[in-house]
Amino acid sequence: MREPDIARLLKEPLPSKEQVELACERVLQRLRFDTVSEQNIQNDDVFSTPPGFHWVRLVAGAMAGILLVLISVTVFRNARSGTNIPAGSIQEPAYLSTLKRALGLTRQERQVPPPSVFEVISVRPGDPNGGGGRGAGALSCGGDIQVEPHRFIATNVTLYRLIALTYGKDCIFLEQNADLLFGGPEWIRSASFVIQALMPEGSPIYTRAQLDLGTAPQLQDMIRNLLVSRFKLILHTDMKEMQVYFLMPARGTRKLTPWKEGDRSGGFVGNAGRGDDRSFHIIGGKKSMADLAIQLEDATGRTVVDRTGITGEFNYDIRCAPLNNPIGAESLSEPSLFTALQEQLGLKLEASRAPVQVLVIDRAERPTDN
Amino acid sequence: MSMTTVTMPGIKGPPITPELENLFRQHSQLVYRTACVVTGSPADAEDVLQTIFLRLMRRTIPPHFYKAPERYLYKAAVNASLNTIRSRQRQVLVGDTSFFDASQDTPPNLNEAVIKQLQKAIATLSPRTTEILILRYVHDYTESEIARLLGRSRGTIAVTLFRSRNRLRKLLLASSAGENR
Repeated sequence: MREPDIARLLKEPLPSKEQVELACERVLQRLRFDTVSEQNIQNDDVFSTPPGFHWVRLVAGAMAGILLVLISVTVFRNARSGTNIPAGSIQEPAYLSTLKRALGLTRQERQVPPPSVFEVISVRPGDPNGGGGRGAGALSCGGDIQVEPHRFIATNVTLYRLIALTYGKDCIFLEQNADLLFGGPEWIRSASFVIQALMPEGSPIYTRAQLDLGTAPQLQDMIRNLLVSRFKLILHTDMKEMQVYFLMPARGTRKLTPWKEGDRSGGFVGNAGRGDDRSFHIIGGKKSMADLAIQLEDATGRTVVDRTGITGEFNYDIRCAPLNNPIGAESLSEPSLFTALQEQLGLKLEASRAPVQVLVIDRAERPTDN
Repeated sequence: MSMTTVTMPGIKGPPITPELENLFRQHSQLVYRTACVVTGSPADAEDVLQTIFLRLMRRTIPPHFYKAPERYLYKAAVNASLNTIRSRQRQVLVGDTSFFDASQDTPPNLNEAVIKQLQKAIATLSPRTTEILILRYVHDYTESEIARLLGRSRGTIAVTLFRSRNRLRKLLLASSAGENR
């Protein structure tokens, strides 16, 4: 195969420059949208006028003037036509209907958000010899999940994993803590299904990562409704006393580094390095103690309760021996997680018992034919 | 002992920073085009682009990232695209995709068939080879530019390109022979 042939064949399915620009802009908008919804929660000062934006006031004033003229004209017209009002009925004032029309609040004009249900659903029994896939752990958490624009595909997944997904929980974490999600027939952990579903037009586009993190609310709702309609799933929340870790300040000096403007934000939990240099890291930037507790849950596989009483946001990089190290933490140069937490941050994990909110499956039925 | 009520917490992602948005504007087209070529699907390419930047938004960015962001993003694009293809292949093995894929009803023309075969063949190459191949033939980088971007010698790039061309030729011949049989 000659060079020009490869170049020509590879470039042929490429979209045009405009299409590429449009696609990139779409993605940027989605990334920004994801951001805006969170910033609205965090930023209380959303109504303050940004400095140097006086023209905004000018435009707002002009619009208010136009609206006033519109209302006056409508009221004047209605008064001249002398509309008969039926006895006993209350007519909506003209200015109110004009205002509603202007704001797009009339019944005809109001935009109804798309319902949180899939447009097309196909549920079939899974391949008993299948399973596996990325991130597959225990049998109940096996299979593969794909999230594509307007399409959700779950291959050889159990109902247990789907429930975990709808609540934004890590299936393997729930599996390790069987008390966090329990009840229901035995098959929900063993019988696998292949689900293909199409989202309606206008639904937000999510990624697999967003679904895993529980930040795809509409898709999670759609999957939840699918489970209710096809699996007749009923569950409720309850409180249960369980083994937990309390995250507390240790004796001695506190070694937390406060986050400051310009520092990076984000987090990471996992192994890094190879061979003898392999170590387990819990990294956080602009993280609260509650966030650290969530990271420690992933690391320890047990619910962690923040009882530090420490407020603010911090940067940290806890380095310790790999948690699943077969030859034991002591044989490596790194300390265990518990020691590292104490030495590096001045915090400690204390095993205890506390009531935790759990999910109880009341009823589930095998799905009916499509 | 005092009892504490615990609520299972949710997870929120950090916002896209102006720094990251600037990087997006600089390199998104390279990532998108690369993903388009490897996955053969604009929808998958969009997903790849979004996933890469979402990961950057939600993780602490390693210090070496800012030394060569283009290298990091390009490698991430190739790896994520190859993952998408492999995941799709698993899907075909275990389930019936004709439910959603109407294009399978009509036989593709000869050129499309060759492109599909080429994409399949690329998916079997190592990520390192794919990186070099796409930079050379899709983004029209010279061997020296590829060497600079990926931090390797020009000789290595030339040899990899020569071998990957041979390998692609063999893979295409083998797959067309398999279809004719």
